[in-house]
Amino acid sequence: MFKQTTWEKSLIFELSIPGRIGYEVAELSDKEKSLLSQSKQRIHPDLMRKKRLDLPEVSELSVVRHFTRLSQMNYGVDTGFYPLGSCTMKYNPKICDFVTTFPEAQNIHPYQDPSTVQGSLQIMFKLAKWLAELSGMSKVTLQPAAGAHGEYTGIMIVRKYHESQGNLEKKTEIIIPDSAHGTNPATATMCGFKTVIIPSNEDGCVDLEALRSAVTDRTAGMMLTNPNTLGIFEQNIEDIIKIIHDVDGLAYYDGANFNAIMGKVRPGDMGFDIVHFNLHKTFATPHGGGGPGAGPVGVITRLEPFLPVPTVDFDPDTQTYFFQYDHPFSIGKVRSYFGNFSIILRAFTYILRLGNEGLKAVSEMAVLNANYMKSLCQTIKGFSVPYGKDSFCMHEFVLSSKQILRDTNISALDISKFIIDRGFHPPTVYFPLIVPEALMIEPTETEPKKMLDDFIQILKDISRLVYSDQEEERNQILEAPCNTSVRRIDDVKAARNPILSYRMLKQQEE
Amino acid sequence: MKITMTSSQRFIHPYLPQTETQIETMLESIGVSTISELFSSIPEKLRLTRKLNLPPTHSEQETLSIVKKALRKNKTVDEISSFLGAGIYQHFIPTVIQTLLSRSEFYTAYTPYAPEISQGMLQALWEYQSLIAEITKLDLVNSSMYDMATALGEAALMCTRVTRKEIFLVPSYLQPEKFQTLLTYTQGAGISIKTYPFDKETGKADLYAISELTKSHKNQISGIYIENPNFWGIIEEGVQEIGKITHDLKGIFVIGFDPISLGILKSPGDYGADIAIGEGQSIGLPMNFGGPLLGIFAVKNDRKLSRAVPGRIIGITTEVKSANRAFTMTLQTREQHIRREKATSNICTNNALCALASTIYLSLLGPIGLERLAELCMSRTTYLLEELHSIDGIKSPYFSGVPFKEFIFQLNSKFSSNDLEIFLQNNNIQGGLSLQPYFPELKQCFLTAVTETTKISDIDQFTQKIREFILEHGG
Repeated sequence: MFKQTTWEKSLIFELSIPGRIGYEVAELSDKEKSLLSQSKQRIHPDLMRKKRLDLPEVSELSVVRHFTRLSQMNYGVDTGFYPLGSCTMKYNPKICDFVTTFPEAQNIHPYQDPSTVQGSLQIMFKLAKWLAELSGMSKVTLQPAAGAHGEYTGIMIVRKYHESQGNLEKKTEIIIPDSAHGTNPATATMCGFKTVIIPSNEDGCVDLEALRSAVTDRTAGMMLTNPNTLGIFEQNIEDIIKIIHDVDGLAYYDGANFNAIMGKVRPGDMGFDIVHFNLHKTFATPHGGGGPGAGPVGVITRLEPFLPVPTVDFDPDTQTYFFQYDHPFSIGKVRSYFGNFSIILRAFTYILRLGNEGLKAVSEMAVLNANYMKSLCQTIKGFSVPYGKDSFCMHEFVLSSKQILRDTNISALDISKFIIDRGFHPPTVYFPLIVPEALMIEPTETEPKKMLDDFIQILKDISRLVYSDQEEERNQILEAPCNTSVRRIDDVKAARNPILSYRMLKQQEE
Repeated sequence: MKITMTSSQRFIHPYLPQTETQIETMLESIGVSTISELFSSIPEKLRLTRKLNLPPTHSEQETLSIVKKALRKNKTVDEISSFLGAGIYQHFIPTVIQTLLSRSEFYTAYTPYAPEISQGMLQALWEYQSLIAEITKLDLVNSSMYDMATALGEAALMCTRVTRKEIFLVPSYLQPEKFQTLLTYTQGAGISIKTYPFDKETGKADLYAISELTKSHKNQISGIYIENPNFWGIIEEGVQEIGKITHDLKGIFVIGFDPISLGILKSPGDYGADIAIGEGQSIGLPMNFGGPLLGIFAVKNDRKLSRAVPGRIIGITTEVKSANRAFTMTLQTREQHIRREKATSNICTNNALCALASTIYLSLLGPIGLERLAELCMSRTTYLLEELHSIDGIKSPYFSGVPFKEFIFQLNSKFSSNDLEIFLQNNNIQGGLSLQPYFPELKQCFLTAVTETTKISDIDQFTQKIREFILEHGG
């Protein structure tokens, strides 16, 4: 039975006792002291700190214990099933973390001479090649730091492309389906485009007629996830892309759902021009409680000149890897240096470990697990699959509990809290927006059948409880969670009276 | 059990738990007989029929040896005596950090969308916000950005969002990576980046030039950015004055800082900063060949500003039915998943685990540790600067301003700086970043950094080798 560890929520600041240290920085020698005062004398005293910072003063053990306790009040993939739709919370292989702790990976300065970083460059070069092959693109940049950052890079490439054609003033719109991730429209805005939202058809796919009427000379491109956020493969993908290409628009593939298609179909073959990958989804790098991730971007040959600089190339004559700055229409840089190397290294290791056959098997098993769950979940009373009920889903599916809400006034949020009480991370709720009372479930390929069955059983239990005529049973759902370190949280209070730091907390208390 | 590679239905791998019997049961439950049927919605002509050109499957042992073999081609800063800085610094990382970061309840978690089950990460990130608020003296901190370069880009966007003005003023002497990122980030919003120069003597911001620039663009300036210490490593003394100029224009004042310098220097909030950004790599993160890093983003607690902040923010609150403390993501109506095309930024995945590393780092060091660390960096930097100063053929320091943990020295024009670099490399020394490729006016100049990990003996050996070079090349 699940019961999350509960510790008193002392803040690190509240553990502070003046005079304690958690790590000792060497004391300055007399010579160093005199050098210091020599420098300090030359700075205006107004610039110097007068009073020491109010940081906590805690011993090493206090720090270790504090954060260990915090970790016990957190839930990761290593703790249990994490079917958070669209996030691909698969197992993060330990070997991939292990290799990043090598000094040869960590203790490398980005401005070292390229001759001293040939290993890192080789790893980057190869990973980029593999990602290009998997997606059917011709070249890949590893620079972007996250999925949304990859989107940003891709749409800036769209912008630069139209600029190079002298069309930027005319090409002002990006088309996005109403089922898209919020990052898509937010990205289009950041890149200076207007978002044109098109409605989905009754199958949850792009409505070709709506698309045709939305596409004009102003269309700069389209952002699309395939399979889409409902877990459905857009069968008309070639027609969709042709409509975009016919007005000289570019087709952008949001790689959030790449876990469904490895070795089965490639965005490049579908006709896409630009693709981003989420290494922290498909390629099993851990999500870090929010990041860091990595969002490499691949492009077709025609768009290579627009990639951010530098990319990594190989010179067969000298047998050395080098930074390639020759991208004449480059969008510039989207961040400092070359990418999140420790994430890149994990993905490189992961691909080696799975290999060609393994990656294909990953997608097959992810799709099998999702369809298995879908087939059983949609028969449970109160739950339904509004889109794609009678067809196969890809790696995820979206369940709706709207019937339960209608019948019992119990919401998808309530259901998600009860799922927590049974020791599982809840699915993504209320997304995509086109599904009422959405519960988006992505089991991933790494979960055993038993786990899937246990989760299905919880949904059955929920169905029984919500439709129970005994109030106590219904209350089990409404009062959940009670096995976590805190019970339901007052989000409204948090937003109405924002206390965002210890400084603000102290001000309020005074 | 025999591993067969022909049918992926029977591909056996430790990461793929379903057995053949289970697969059959599952297929039956779905109502199909093969896995390929599940992919029937993919149009046939698009389906891959050929084998992709990817590596074969490797065992854990094989994988490890391939990765090790590749990484062995790298030369770490432990093997080189490195004086490289220019944005990324080699500081010591207490062992506790790696130990705590490898708690997989933290690192295998997603963004804390389900707060009741994610209190640990939420509290840790709230403490991160609190520690950064403490060192910057600004109350509102987001729970991380990718790096300082993108934090600068986001700051510029925020200035325009708040003021609706379109010129953002920055030093001409920014780290090139940062400057290029800023240019990319501001294109979409149509922001014009204008630069102000440095004083050729001191290496500090040219205050006169700034005030002239502001006069000619009076009602167009959204904000002014200054870094302290600046890219040359020098402590800017006109920060307060630039802040006043900015506020007189009703612009937003943005300060870039090095967190370690705040052990001895005043905080951005003390200078009237509206936004402060920093690179958190120096407080607890390995250099990792330049990533992942940690973009620090702090803002003055002001209603107008707080609504325009990019990124995730954690708040403290209570349980619904009790006064028990609880943490949750808040002010989410600024964010992409709610506000979509009207969001303050598209950022979703950030660098939370890096923020956790810095939280642990600052907790371990405390006020005394951070102060002493800053003092150590500064005194050893002064030592190297003085030692180089005593060498004929070297101009050290190149600028007269006071440096914090890095500075510029110049090699006399009768020597070749290329030769010097090769000479040092042959002696296993990376003497700093050659600036001439980025700033042509800084001929034969090197930006060289010193931290607490730089031993006095490293410095002595460095200066000794420069002496030898000068002798050998006819000094």
